[in-house]
Amino acid sequence: MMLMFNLTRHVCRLLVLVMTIIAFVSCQKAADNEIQTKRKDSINPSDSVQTRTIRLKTQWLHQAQFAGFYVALEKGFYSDFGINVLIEMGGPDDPSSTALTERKADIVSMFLSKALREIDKGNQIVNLAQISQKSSFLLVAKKSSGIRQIKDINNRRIGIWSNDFREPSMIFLNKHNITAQIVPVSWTTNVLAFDVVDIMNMMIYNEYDIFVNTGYDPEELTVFPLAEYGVNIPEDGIYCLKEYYEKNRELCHDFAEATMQGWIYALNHEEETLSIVLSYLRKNHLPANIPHQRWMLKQIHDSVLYNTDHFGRLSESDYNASVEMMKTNKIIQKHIPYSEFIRYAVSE
Amino acid sequence: MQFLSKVKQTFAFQLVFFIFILTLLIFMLMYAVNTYMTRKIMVQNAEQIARNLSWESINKIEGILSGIEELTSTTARLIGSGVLNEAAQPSYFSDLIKQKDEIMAVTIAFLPDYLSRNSNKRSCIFTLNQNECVQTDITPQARDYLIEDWFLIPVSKKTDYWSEPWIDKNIGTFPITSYSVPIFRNNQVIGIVRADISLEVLQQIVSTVKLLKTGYAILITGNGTFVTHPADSLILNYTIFSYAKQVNEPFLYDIGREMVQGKSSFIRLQKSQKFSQRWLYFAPVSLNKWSFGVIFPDNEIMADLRKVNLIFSAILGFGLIILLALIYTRIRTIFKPLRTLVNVANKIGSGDFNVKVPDPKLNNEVSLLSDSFSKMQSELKTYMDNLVKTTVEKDKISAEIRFAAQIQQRIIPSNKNLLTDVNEVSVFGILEAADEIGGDLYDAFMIDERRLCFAIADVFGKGIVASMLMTMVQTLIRSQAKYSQTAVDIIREVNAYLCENNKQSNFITMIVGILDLKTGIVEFCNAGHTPIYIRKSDQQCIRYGDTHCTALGMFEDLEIVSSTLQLDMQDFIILFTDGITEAMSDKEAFFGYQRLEELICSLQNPTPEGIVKTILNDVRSFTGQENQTDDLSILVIRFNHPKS
Repeated sequence: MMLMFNLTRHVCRLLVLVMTIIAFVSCQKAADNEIQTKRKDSINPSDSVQTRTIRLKTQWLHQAQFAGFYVALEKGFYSDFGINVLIEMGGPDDPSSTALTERKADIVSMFLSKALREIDKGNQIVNLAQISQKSSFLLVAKKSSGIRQIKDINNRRIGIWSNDFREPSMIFLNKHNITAQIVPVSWTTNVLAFDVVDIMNMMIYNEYDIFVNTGYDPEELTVFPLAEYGVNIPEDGIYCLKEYYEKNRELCHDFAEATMQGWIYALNHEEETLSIVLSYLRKNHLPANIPHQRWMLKQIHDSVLYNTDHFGRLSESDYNASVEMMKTNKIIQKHIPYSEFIRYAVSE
Repeated sequence: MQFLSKVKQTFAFQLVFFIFILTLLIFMLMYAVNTYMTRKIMVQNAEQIARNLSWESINKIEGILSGIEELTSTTARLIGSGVLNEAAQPSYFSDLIKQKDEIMAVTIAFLPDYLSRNSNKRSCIFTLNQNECVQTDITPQARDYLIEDWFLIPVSKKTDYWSEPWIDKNIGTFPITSYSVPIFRNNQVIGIVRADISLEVLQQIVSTVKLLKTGYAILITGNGTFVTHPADSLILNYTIFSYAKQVNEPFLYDIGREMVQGKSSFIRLQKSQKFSQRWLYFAPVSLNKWSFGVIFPDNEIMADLRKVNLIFSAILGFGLIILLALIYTRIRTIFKPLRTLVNVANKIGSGDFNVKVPDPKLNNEVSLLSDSFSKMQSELKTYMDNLVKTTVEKDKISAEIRFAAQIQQRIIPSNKNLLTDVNEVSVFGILEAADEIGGDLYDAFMIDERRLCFAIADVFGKGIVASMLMTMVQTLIRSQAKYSQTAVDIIREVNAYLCENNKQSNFITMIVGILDLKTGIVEFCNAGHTPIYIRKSDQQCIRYGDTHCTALGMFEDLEIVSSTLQLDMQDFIILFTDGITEAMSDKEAFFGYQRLEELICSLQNPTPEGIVKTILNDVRSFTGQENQTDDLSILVIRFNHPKS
């Protein structure tokens, strides 16, 4: 009896020692990160958890803009939560919002403005997490066109995307009382190069860099970042249908949690993330332009960490301001309260 | 090391080394000039080749593009004018695509306004499928072609437009470039005709370009996008600008700007880190405003030059070694007699004048040297013989002079027995010759028991002649004194003798005096000599400076007189030659009479010896030990008391 007691005591001591070492190593690893990652306490990787599958669709082709998803998958953040994620890319002809409403995707990434329009259309969708905290929209003109200030845009031809991505530019024009000839344009920047338009909208992380890399010195360009001119509608967020959320609350929370952990890891490990992004591009036969993806990751980094007070969450003030802008500009008529739109999926 | 040092100093080594350095410098200069000139020519040639090659490819590309432009423009005009109606279009485009292999598809796209006004019109794509023309409708609603570059840009600019590479899923999944031409009707743009060619057509033209071994061609679009490049990952993925960023080459960025601006240039990419050893020629493809470039490495241009330089260097190096070896051997052969001459010279130098000088067989500078050396040897031998004789004679003369000096010294009375047996007087004299033998004399001797004759003389000149004359004069004085009553007689006889026998016309200054020991009266005659001094016992010094005649030996009929003076007891007669008064100090001052007089007067209780030595010491201290230039003679006689 005494022997059994001693043996148990030794085993307990050994277990405590092993756990202490594991905890110490984990703390050390976490301390390396600029923003510490958090794991769901309730889920232990060693636990036998039934694998749950999520079909994720991004609103655009694979690129560094969605690095957090790739990293969460490749580094095992999703599998840590027992989630099997199937990432499908969208594109100009394959919007993620449509996939969501048609239930071809469980969870999607899309702009806040697009989400608000979906709600306006009567689709019940909820925000699980907010990746972008700042608008990346720009209006870019060649200085040779004579545009140096906002008022110079008056009576000029302005190239604006023709589909889901046009709202911020339109709000900007209205807010500053600019009368300009709107020319619907595609995703290339050739119309600006050929002076079909005098100014056009671009995303700082994508088209702007592409345009600069066709031989333009940034000094030769006039750039209006919309966020700095009162039109800051945060963009990339993670959304699902309300009904899906109601049925899979824990799964949604876990997914959002793991995704943001993926983002934290991505932002703290730029080169590794870049190689993961490039592997996605190559796997899907997409152009793998390294400097461009690096530039994109850096811009997204700035946007994700723009306001660390509510990392991963859409603040109520940003939501209300965005709703107000879209209603004022008659882009939407109705909206739902912040509390119904937001599901606090990400841990504090 | 010593051996090496010796070798380095040899004439052969010096000459070979000098020629080696000079030849090497000339070679290096030739090499540099040749390399520079040849390199310039080869670069020009390479530029010409690159230029020709580029323009050949550009012409091929433009040939394809211009064919497509012509067909598309014609089609647009036909549609615009209504000639090519909807019914005729399928067969027309079928023929067109079949006729022009490069065209993948033709698209007709109308503006929405025009479509709404003309319900029979439709936008569609014509492609060829298994040799059959397939017509696919496109609508602005289904696919918003209105915003596509190929439509929007030419419609807005009302001009034709070559698109950047893109993929039209209606045609396939391969990249194409499209040529769009606006369709005009009543001067209004109503739509676009677009012809597509596969990028592969252009890529094939460029990818077949080979320059030298590894030179390659690139094609970039108006945006700087790589259409062809040996690195597949760059094609349609990177622009030259993004690539410049990736490889961190700002210089490449600047070149990209020039390329997309339609310029042409031939440059070495020296400013580039990665491509510094490469050349680039680029020129525009003017039809679609793309740019074609050829890149090739510098070392391949210069490969032939390096080969030529290598062979050139090898030949020259080998030739140089042979040349130097031959020169070295030849010099050693030529200078072999010289080395023999050196040995002969060494033997001659050691005194062997009979050694035979070699006779070089060749008639060159060495043979001349050998002849000269032979003559020199002969003259040297004669000279040495003469020198031996002269030396023998000189030794003989020296021995004779030494003998004469000994005789002279013996003639001069010694102070040990100078009238030591005559109590009435004390006499001390000294003669310090400037050379081995002197020209001065002094003497004091008794003529008879009562009379003492004293004399001091200075023969003009020095050496053997003066010495012999002095000897003769002294002998003459002694012999004549016995027959003469007065000093004048003695002087006269001496003068007569000298005038008669003195062929060299040497003359003598002299004082001869006769002291009567009983009366103390001195009769003396000064023949051009220095003064006579009488030092009295009260330290008074009386100078008798007048001469009674000129120096002797010059005039036969000489009028000669004499003077007399009365000596008191303890009076000193002091006689000397001009070597005393004319003794010269370092500062070229004469000893002089005044100093002599002061010295004589200052002496306390003097003796003849004391006076002589005091004067001599003072003169030596005045002149310094080494500065005696004339004979020094002093004779001092003290009259102790009259003879009883």
